[in-house]
Amino acid sequence: MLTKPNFIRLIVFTLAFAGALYYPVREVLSYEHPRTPPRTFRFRVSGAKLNEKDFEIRPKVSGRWQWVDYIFPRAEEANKLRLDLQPSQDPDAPKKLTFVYYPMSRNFAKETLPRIKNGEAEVVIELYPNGRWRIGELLVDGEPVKERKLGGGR
Amino acid sequence: MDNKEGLRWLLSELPKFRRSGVLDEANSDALEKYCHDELELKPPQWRFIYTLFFIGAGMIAAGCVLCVNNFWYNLQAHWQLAVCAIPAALAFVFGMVTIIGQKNQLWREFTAVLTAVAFGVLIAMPHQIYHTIGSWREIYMLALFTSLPFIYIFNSIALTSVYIFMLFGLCYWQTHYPLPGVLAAIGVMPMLHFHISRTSPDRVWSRYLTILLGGFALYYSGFNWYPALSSFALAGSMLYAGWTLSERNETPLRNPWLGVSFVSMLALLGMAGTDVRFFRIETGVSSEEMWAYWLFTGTVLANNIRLFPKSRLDAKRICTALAVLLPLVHLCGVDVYMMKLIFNIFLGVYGAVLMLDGFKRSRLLIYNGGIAMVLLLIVCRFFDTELSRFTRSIAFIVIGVVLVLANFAFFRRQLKQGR
Repeated sequence: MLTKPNFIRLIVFTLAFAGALYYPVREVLSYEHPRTPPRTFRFRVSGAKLNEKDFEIRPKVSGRWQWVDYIFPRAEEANKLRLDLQPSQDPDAPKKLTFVYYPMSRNFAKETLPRIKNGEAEVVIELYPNGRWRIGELLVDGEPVKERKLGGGR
Repeated sequence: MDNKEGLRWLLSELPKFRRSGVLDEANSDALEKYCHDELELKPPQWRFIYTLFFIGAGMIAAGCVLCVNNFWYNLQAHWQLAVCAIPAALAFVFGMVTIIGQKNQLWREFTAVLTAVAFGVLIAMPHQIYHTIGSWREIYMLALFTSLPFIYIFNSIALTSVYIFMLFGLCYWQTHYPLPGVLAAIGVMPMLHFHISRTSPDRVWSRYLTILLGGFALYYSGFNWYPALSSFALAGSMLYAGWTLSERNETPLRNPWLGVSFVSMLALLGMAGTDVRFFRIETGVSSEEMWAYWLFTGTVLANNIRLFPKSRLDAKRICTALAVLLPLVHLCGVDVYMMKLIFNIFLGVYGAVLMLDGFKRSRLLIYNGGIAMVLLLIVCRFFDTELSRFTRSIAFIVIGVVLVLANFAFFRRQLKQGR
């Protein structure tokens, strides 16, 4: 049998729980989904025989994992990396590919990097109403490839 | 000695009683069983099983997190959301079971922490999944405010501790909008006050938490306008409380206020007497920063006023009150060089008062505190006064002789009193 203080506690807990749910539920419900279907942009990779060794990947911490956030979110470092990806003539294409790669997410291991073949890569980008965007899927040589299966020869 | 301590003592003495024949074996066993039942002690094997259980549970949880992490970016957004909602659903079930089943404090602590963590995840992840507008600081602040009610609902000191440690995370974002952070700090104060002011088993830990909370609030908002006033107010407030606990013969470990506040007071007085920049008043402070400053400083000053009349009025308490009030003199137009001189004189007077008080009441701790203050004054002035080497040497000898004689008199008095 519930005592009076515990009954009050139960009511307050339920109210606090509902109140705490308000923000995440509102965020999800009010979210405007990206334009469908996602836009596909084609990028040319300059420089012949560009391969994984040409990337200057500096590890954030010593050890097995190397983090990509030292490479992609910084436009000024892109030239140093010789990863000069030119946008297509499509006026909707982002101006800098350096920001295309998961601008909000940091913890990407080396193997999530695209393996670029024949100097060309295709990137499918979801354009969001709030002006942000991220990669939805990565295509290499026209073939959709799951990110986890990329890189490292594994 | 409380009941549990007495039972533990009896348990430790039982083998002796048995050996000396005070108790026969049957009585000894019965007594041992009684003590174990009262203390709810389990045999050592139980501890081993518990340890294995917790290690196993921890490894399962870590494995689940790693597994989800591995497949996270292969999941569709709605599945990602569903995964994020699992801890919140669990928290709801645990909350209901804890309240309706009237579970013990351990359950409450666990449920409170689980609920807060679950909502932290649930608030942060839609932002990460959908890249919605809003900064991580806002998300962090929202998660903090969301966890606040659960501290009170479950009367959880564990969540209070996590909350206070998490407050320090706000220092990561340098901001001109400190008001929410100060409000978040003030929000947890009633909980600490509740535990400190009654016979709660967590009152000692709450004292430590108060120091952390005060340190956070001082760093976050107390330096916004006139740091001298807020710093002295906080140190003074803790010093009053520390003196009071010390007079109740609380051990230093159970009374962290006294040590921390005394060292802080010493450092503050040393800085005030050395560098005029200590009395700087920040310019270009926004109105929100000003509000945050006065919210914190006003609360601490009010605490000073609350604690002062409660304490036994003596010279060292009056000196502490003076230390809190003296920075206000600068606001009345006294220039910084005069302030420096005032604080030099005050440091000497405060030290002498403590030495006399310690001498009179034969309290070595207070006496040594006074010596520390006088020594600090001497050391600081040795480096920055421009007296000749000869004059300094004479001054050192005179002060040294005074200290030796004072110590001699103190120990003679102690010996006479048979301590």
